[in-house]
Amino acid sequence: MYRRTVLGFLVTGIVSICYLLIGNPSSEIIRIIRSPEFLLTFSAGSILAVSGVIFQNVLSNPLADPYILGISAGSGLGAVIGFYFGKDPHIFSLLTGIITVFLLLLMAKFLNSKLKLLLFGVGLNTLFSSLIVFLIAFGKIENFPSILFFLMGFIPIISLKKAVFFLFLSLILLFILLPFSKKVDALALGDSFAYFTGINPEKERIVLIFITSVFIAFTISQTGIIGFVGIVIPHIGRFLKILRTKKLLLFSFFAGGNALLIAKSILKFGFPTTDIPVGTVTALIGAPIFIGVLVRSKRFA
Amino acid sequence: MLKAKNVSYKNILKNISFWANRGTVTGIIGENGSGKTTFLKALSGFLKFSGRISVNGKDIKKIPVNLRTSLINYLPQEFPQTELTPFDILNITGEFKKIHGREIKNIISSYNLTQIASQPFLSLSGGEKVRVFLAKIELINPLIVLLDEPSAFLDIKITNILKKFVERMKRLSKTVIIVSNDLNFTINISNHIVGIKNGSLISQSGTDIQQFLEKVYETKIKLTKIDKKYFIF
Ligand SMILES: Nc1ncnc2c1ncn2[C@@H]1O[C@H](COP(=O)(O)OP(=O)(O)OP(=O)(O)O)[C@@H](O)[C@H]1O
Ligand SMILES: [Mg+2]
Repeated sequence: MYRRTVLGFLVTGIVSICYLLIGNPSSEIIRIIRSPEFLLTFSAGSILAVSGVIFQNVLSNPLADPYILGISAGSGLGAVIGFYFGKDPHIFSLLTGIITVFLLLLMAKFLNSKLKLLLFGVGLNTLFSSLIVFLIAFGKIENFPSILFFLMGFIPIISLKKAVFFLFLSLILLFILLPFSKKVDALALGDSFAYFTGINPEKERIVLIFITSVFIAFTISQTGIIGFVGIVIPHIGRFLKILRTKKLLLFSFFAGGNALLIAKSILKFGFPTTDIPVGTVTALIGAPIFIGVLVRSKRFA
Repeated sequence: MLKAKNVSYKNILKNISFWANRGTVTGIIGENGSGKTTFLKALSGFLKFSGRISVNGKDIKKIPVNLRTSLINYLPQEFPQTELTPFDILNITGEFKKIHGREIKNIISSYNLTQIASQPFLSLSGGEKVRVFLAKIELINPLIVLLDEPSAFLDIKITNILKKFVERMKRLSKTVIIVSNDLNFTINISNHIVGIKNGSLISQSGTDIQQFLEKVYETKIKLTKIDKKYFIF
């Protein structure tokens, strides 16, 4: 485990140095553009991936993540509403994100089927995404990214201070979740197993989903709706036989951050003249990996 | 002692009252879909039933969930689909109960799980899965042991392991409740038997075992007694 953590730091170090220094930029650019970009990208990637681990395990559903369940779109809608009224998008994002979570949890009780819950989330996702499109298209909001960017997810240029705050967020999320690892392991084995190892599955599930959703909402209000990182990264971990939650959280923290950084680098350095949202690359790379993992996995048979 | 009073759940369990003493084995039989599994889940407090279930006089609803496990534990009829290994499963169990790694290793070898301890749980055979979960129960060491169709997948050798498990639990003054349609197994290992029919409890009182079985299953049953043991054909 310690070896893996060291490896995580090592890889992150190399990727970050590459990101900061490729093309020999001026120190000004490193400070004002590349550093905040790097910090926000890494933090967003790790928050998304870590949340994916939690959602998949506590719902014991390999397809669950904040994006699929519509929580990301719900949070995104709030951010857009916030912009629309000239209010703090983070607060609105948090509000609508949490409303979405409650809606899901309420339906979970009512539907009594994990598959139906997933489909309900897919419905919410579509609904909220189209509401976002309407609001952005008709609202003519100033200083707001385009519809495409917000829906696919992007990395805006923010202040270094704010970027450092996001890095803290991602670390805080990781350190809040790590002590829950045992419980998440038990929940992943099903509610009955969890109950007979001594935890209240419904209560723990709500707590965990709630915590992660708050962090997701914060991220989404900044980056728009980046998909696929939350689903794909945990599955790559499992594919590498990292199955226990504690190890998987650590893996996803590093792998999620670096994966999004690499996606961002491909865009920034590979296609410097075209402006494409980073979510396009995560989907482009993530989707085939996801399909590959699904096909080779025995778990969903 | 485990006591249930007027326990109902949805329309599946209907006003069941029931008790089982320490150091005894109670068999519960009944047709498929009659509500046996649901009843065990209610007994353990896992389902939100109406009525009252108490362990040694304490209302189970008032016992915190994290303390219930060491009172009641359960061998499920259906197992989780997981890539985690038996070793992981026993470790997760142990971590909650602060059980040492050495104890887990001992359990693994005493249940003959060494060979399969590092294989994905979902790739194990039915009988192997039962053994893993029996080991899990033994690790937790609860006062009341609920077994749901424990003999369903077992060959003769593993059935003997199960029999020894039940005998050991009895000697340790635990309350054992076995749900099973394996009548040969259940009748011979149990101190007494009750039936569940359409969610209602049927007791044996007044009838002999053959009449009782025929009432529960509504079919003719041929029962023979050899060497104090019953055999059904
Ligand atoms: N969660 C549930 N919601 C609604 N109905 C259920 C639920 N679980 C079980 N049932 C129904 O309750 C009835 C009793 O189911 P249960 O699993 O308790 O039967 P059983 O006696 O254990 O059967 P078997 O011998 O096949 O294991 C069945 O008709 C089943 O369809
Ligand atoms: Mg059953």
